[in-house]
Amino acid sequence: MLIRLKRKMVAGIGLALWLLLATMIFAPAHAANTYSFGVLNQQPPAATAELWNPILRYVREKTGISLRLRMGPTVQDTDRMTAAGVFDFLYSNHNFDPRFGQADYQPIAKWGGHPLVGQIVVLADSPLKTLGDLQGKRVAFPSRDAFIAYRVTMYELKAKGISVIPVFGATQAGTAVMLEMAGADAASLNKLFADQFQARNSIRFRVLYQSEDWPNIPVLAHHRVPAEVTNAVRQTLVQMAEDPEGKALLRKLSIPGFLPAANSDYDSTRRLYQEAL
Amino acid sequence: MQGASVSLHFRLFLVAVAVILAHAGIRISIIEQQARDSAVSFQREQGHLVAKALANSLTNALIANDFATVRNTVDLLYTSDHFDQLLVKDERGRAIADRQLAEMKLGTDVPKWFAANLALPAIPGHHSISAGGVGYGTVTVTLSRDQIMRRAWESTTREAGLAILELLTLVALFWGLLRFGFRPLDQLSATVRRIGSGEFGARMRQNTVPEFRELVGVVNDMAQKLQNSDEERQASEDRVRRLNEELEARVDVRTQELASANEMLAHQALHDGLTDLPNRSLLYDRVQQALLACKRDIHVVALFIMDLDRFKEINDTMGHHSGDLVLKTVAGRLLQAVRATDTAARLGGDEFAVVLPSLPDSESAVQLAKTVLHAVQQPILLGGRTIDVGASLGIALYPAHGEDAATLIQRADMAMYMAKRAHNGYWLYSGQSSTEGRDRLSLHSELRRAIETGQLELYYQPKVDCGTNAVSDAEALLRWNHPRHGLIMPDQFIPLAESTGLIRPLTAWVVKRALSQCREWWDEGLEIHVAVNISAVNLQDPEFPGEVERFIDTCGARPQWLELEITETAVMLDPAVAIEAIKRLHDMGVTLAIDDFGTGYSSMAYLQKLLIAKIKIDRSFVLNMTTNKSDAVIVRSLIGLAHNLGLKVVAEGVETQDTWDELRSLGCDGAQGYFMSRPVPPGEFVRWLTSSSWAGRSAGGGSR
Repeated sequence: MLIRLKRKMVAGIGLALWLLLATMIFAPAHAANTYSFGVLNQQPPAATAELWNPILRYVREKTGISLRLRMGPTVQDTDRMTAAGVFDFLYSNHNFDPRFGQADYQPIAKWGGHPLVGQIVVLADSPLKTLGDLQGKRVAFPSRDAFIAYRVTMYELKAKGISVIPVFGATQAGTAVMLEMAGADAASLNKLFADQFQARNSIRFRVLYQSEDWPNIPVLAHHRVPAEVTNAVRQTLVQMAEDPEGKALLRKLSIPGFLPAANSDYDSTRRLYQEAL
Repeated sequence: MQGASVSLHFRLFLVAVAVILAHAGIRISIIEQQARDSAVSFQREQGHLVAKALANSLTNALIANDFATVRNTVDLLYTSDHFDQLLVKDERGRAIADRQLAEMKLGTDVPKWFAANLALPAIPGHHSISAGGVGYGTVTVTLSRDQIMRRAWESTTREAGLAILELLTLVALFWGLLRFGFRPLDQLSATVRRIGSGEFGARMRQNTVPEFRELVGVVNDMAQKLQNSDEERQASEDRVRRLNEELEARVDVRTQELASANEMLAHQALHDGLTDLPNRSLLYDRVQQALLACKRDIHVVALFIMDLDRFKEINDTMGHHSGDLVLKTVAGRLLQAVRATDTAARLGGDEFAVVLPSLPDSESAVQLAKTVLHAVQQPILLGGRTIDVGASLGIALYPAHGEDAATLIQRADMAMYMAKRAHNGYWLYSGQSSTEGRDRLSLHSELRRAIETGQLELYYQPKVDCGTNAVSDAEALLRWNHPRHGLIMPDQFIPLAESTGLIRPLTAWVVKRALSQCREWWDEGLEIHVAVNISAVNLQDPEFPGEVERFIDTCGARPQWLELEITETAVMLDPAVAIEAIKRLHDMGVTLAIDDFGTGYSSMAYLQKLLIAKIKIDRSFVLNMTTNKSDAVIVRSLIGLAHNLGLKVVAEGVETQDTWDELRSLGCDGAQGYFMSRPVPPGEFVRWLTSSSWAGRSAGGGSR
């Protein structure tokens, strides 16, 4: 009896130890690390944090992978950090710019919703009616590093032989404000942002030019990040729209969610960056 | 007691000030507390706000690990002096930026007591820096307590200033309110004071506040009543004053009247009321003065005493009024006749006196006496009649006849009697005149004694009836058988008796004696009526008729035996009294006859009314009627008139057969006179009656 009891106790303890060990073995190996998650300076850092930190927390809660938002004070800073491979993960398309493409980042997902569309807009009551009217005018851009709002639109202007005086608003918001405050005759903006800006600020723009669709900004993962971590993150992001919690979060943040992305999706983007402007 | 001098509204004001001060104290402590609370909450809230704002502004930089920006921002902010400390830590608690004062500043620019009272603790404001649910650090902000204290001090002083202003405003308002509220009381006080000081016309202005309105009404009513009573009082005082003034005026008038009355009395005391000449007293005084003055020089002083002759007749026949006029005229003449330095006086009755000081000698006195007499004796025209006035004047001289006033007056009086007796006009005093005067002076007392001692005697003169020649009546005539002077006739003492009041006992004696005699005669069988002369004084005596009746009773006589003879003037002296006496005597049965008829002014008709039975024609008409036709006419007329009125007539003064015959022929009823018999004593009268030729026709032959 006593032996049987001892056996049972040893068996119980053994089972407990096994369970403990198993937990330790099968727990994600990346759980102990925190991965940096860089974000392109489309908005000021605080606004960026407001958008991305909930997503990053969602990912951690789903995967146990801790992601910490990081970004440079300016887009140039962030681009330099991109080139230096500072970020474990990165939401940007500037890495396709040959100037900042030294680090090895691979797309794991992309911003969902409508593809990127660039627009050149003037104020609704502006006398400027056509793209040609912008000849010699001041046109605001977020920065020379912006893809859809500079590379795409400036490519179009140059293609049409329209020479403008570029001015820079640092971010999409800064660029829209420059137009609004008459700091520029026209502004080059992401269409998605332009629509949101008009809705938020009760202002009407007139679109002089709208680009073709370009693939949305991808979420990139540095090659040093373990594959299971990258996969977990990719899977979590892509499936976010399917998950009730993820869906609720996306609705709360008013964002479309993420789609799967392949490296080839950005060949056109790479090509455009490679065009000398 | 001192408290009573502090006004109510000042006390209320003090209470209000105390309340306001207490309120101010509480207010200041509240302000202080509020300043502290405000400083604390400011520090807490503002510190938090600043921390929050700083956190917000630093969020981007912290997210982007832009610590340089963080430090720059903190440095920039810190330079504003608004902070004691600015501290920014990262999410791990490491300080990224930390700026704080090297040396704590606390309470500069504020009073130390204020800083001590405030005891402001350091309350840092904290705020975390987060975005999207991720913390990036914390911000700690400690505001500058020095500035907060300054701010609190400013706020406190501002609040305290406002509180003081409010306090002053409240005090002023309350003072004004009290002044306004107490104005009616002040006015009441002032009004009551004015009323109290006698200004009863003072009134309070009407007030719109109901309580005061009622009070004003009460006070004004009171003032009105006081005013009314004051006016009444004043009116009463005015009345009393007017009455006093009137009284004083009356007293003045009375005083003046009294003064003048006194003066008049003094004058009257020394002057004669009728003639206004000095009286006996003043004369005496003047004589003395003259004597005193004369002793200093060599002159003589003369004193005249003058008496009017026949004045009584004037008085009796023409009345007292005429007599008074005569006296006045004489006084006026006397004054004109003497010198200015002489004093003329009236001694009484018809007696006057003159003092003549400073005469050179006795001869001048005599001359002046003559002058006086001449002036006085001028005829006087009175009521259409001329009256001859005679006068007798006695002269006494100082120092020859006397050394003093009394002696001089006595001797001048004696000299005057001598003049009268001698019919000499004036008489200068001598030893003889002294004796005569003394006699007259003692006459009065002697006459009184004569009545008592039986020196008086009645003589009887018969009256004969002209128709029968019989003796029916006898007139009793008074004689004074003086032990030394012998027989004195009535005209010598009757005026004295009349003037001294002796006439009453004298008449009583005569009436009683005559009635007793008549009783005797009748007892003896001689039926003789007796006639008695009575004086005017008797007729004026209301007791006289009663006396006569008593005498008739006591003598056992009959009224019809008595005939009373009265003169016309006696009746006319006071007719009303005389008529009453005559009526009573007539009713008694006594016969009344008018004596000496014709010399007065009586009318026959009047005599008839007087119940007179008989008139006796005055002897002056009868004596010469046989030789004087006018007298005969008068006698005849009188007899005719008397008979027509039913009066009997007796003629007096029948002295001759012719007269007797004439009277009989004229129808006269009776006669009396020496022709029949002179007045004789009673015994002799009886003898005459039995022995004379008339006797047979009288005894027992009387018709009555």
